[in-house]
Amino acid sequence: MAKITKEYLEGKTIAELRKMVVHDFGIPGMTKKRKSVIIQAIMKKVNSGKKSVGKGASRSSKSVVQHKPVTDIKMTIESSITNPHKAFGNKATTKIIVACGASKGKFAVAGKTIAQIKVMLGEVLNIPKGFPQAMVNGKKVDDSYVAKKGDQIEILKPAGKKGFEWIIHHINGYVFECPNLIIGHPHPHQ
Amino acid sequence: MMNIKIVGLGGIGSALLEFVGRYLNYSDFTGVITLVDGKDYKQKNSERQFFNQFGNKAQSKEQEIVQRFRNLNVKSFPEYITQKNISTVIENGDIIFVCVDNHITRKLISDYASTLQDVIVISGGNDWIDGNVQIFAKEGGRKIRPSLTDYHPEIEVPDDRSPDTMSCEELAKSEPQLFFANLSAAIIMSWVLYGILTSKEVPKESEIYFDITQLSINAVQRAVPEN
Repeated sequence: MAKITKEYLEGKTIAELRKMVVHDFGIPGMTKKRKSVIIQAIMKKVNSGKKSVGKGASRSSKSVVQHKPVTDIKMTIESSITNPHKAFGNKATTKIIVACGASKGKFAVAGKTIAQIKVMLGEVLNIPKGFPQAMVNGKKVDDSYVAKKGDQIEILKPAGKKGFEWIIHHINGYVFECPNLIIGHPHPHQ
Repeated sequence: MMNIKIVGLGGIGSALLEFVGRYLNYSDFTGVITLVDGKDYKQKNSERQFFNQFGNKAQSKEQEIVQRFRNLNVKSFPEYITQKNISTVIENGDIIFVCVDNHITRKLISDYASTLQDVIVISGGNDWIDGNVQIFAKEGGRKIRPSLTDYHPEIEVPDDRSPDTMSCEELAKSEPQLFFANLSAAIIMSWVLYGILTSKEVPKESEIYFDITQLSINAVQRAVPEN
């Protein structure tokens, strides 16, 4: 590794610095900090002469760290991580696949009911208002079902029909037809 | 011999015929393509629909396609599909493209296809910027992909009307649609046909959703309900 100086660190991108601070220096709580703060933390660590190897440094495989010999006896420390998901800096949040129509993603919704998920992800997944049926692992469930690890949730989207939803309003003998872009949304004429 | 029926030749159907017709014309396909629609092409349809002449959609497209794609055997059925005539249009062994704009007709075709032994129904529909394609299939009398109504209560109990029961004024009222959404549905339906013709198998995914503004497609496998 190149000599760690402030100039060297400033030449790095924020993403590179965030990786370095965790993997090379084992400094916690830095992954969301600003560049200047990360550089300051690294320099502090470097200047203190106590650069240590974070747990994440050996995440991918075994790593070998050479320490300066204190005596004439050379010493080698070998470490390996058997559970990479618990490596430093990794959040062990269970994420569940939730889909609605063409929209799909992994979300931290374990422990939430289908009703809560519909509200929480309504805009993200463009879930139609009203009462769309939910399916978990291919089976229909009701809104009180609580999502758990390993579930695959689908909120059934109604089949495409044609253009907008049209609402016909009858007011004082007159007929109004208005496009209703959000299904179930109360229209001003109503 | 496998025959193809295209029901509805509007925004989706007229585009689908362009893609599928061109592909089949240069393939070893020997079946008959039947075009079904009771409506006429009018000036206002030019915005989203492929046609060279006014008049009945099925007949206009038949005349156009036989001249452009001379290897194809194309027929027209210039009527809306109804409970009375469906048995004369849809037959065992057909691949049926449902390109209509109402759930009543989707249900009619799905229910009738459920009575056949071997049939593949590929139905496309779209709203303004998104839509879906459904695949329903029966093989040897066994349902191998869910019907159009199995997972869609809005098709099982449609709240719209069949075009054959609507007045001329009602039919003339065109609801806004996006050309690109029509094209997307047609393209995905043509992918499904290509998959079936080349692999000789119906795709495992029975529903494909698309969304133009999200630039996304999601294909979903669904179990066939037991009853």
